[in-house]
Amino acid sequence: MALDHLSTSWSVFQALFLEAMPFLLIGVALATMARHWLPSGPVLQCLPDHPLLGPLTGAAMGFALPACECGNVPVARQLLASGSPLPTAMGFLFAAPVLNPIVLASTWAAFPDQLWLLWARPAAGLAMALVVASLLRLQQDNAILAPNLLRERGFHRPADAGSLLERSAGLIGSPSPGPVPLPSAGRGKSWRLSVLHGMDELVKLSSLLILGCGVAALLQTTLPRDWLLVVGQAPTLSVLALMLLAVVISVCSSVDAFLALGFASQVTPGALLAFLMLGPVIDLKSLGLYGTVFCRSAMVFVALACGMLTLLAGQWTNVLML
Amino acid sequence: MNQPGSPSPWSVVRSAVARWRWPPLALLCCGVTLMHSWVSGRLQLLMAPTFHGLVVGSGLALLAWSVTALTVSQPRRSIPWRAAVLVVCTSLLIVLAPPRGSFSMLARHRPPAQLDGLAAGFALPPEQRDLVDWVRLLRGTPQPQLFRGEPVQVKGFVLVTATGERHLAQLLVRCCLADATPVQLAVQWPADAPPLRQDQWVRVEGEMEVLDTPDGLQPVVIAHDVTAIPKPPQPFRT
Repeated sequence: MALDHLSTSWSVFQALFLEAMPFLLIGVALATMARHWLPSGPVLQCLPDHPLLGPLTGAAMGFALPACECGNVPVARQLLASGSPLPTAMGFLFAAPVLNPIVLASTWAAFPDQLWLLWARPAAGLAMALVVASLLRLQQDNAILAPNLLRERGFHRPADAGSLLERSAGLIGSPSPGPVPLPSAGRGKSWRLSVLHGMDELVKLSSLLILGCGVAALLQTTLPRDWLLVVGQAPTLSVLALMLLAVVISVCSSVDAFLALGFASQVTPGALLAFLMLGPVIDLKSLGLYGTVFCRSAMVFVALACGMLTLLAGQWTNVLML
Repeated sequence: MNQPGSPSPWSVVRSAVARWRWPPLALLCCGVTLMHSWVSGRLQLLMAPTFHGLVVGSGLALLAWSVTALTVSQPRRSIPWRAAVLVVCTSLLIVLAPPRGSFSMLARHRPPAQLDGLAAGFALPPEQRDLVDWVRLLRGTPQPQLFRGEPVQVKGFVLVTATGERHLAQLLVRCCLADATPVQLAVQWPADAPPLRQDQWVRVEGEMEVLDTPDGLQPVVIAHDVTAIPKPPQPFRT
């Protein structure tokens, strides 16, 4: 029986990894091209830093650059490393997995008769991106970003953009004290550096993807989904159960609507929305990838904030629709 | 004993390993793994055909990327060699250890599949309906007894339920195995049926019966002939 568990977990792991790898590759390729062509620094710094306009701009970029959660993390990281304001990059990071044409089309294909879901999903995703980005904006960069990213970002920010602490610590504009993968390729630099930098980034993210897929696969074969769906009609418990399911199952946001279709009739409308809202932003597979953007405490904060907002959205949906 | 200040053997090995070209090797292994999964037909066991092209394209891109990186001169830099070793080892493991998961185990952990949106088998003659067509038909009608006595010819794997019953089942997959959900039919197996182990693929010929149980009307296939068959190359419905 233990061998059955192990071999089934191994199969699910392979399925998750092989299915996610192309999306990660697309994301890193986009980030590498952005790194090579984007005029890092001045132009990206002109993107809005406003708590509302910033995330909206990021969300609009997500609509034009469709990627699921595996692909958009490297792109968002590259935006931050190139000096983009935090609200815009966060808006992209949290809204792009939901607010993109592929995800909206798959939601419509899966739920053509539930029109409320077609607007509620993007609206809730956008609202969550706005709130989380605004909350993160209240913090200094060095309180939320991963140290390596902070150093890369320091190269592209004007010296007066950082906090006093950052400047006195020499984080802005100073040479890297630790191992930095590669100096920024930037405009006019050779393709060779871009290719090597992209390769290093892809390798690092792939290793994190492997860990995430491993945990998700193990939990999938040990945690019976019936336990989660037993509470399907309880207003609060159903939302919490589907949030947990979304985190564990780690399925790509471009197809999660078809999966949700499988239990749509067994759960409350709020739980359904919660599954479609939280899964694209927080799941076990992508938590490792977030480690390249956020420091540990910020990751916990983001996970909790997204969880709380999803619970709230699910509850209100149930209040209005049950 | 090492002389004070001289590097330990472990650190010598570690720095020698760290100097290898691990990242391009990792991409190469990853690309080979993706292509191997396609060539060997394993992708058909793991995900819906819609995504196969994406995996093949990514495999080719990874191979091209790794070959490019191997041919250009490498500037001195800090390489993510630990991450690369993990990717290399995982890629090799995927090639060496094919997926042999238990569909029954997966099915026991999942709720029954919803069949909305699938092509209906209503118009098909009874003997041409597959397992999913039958289940959809029976779920969709308030009078399953209308199908009593109709011939049944279906294929699937043996699913041992939590209560120990042996049903005939198939998995429905929208994306990959991670989202597989079961579709199953109760079967009354003949006395001379071959030994039915869990996950064994069989073809069942018989007729549809609807039993009146305390839980309501229960469709069941009365099997007349059961033949063990090999696992199909594409073992799930999409």
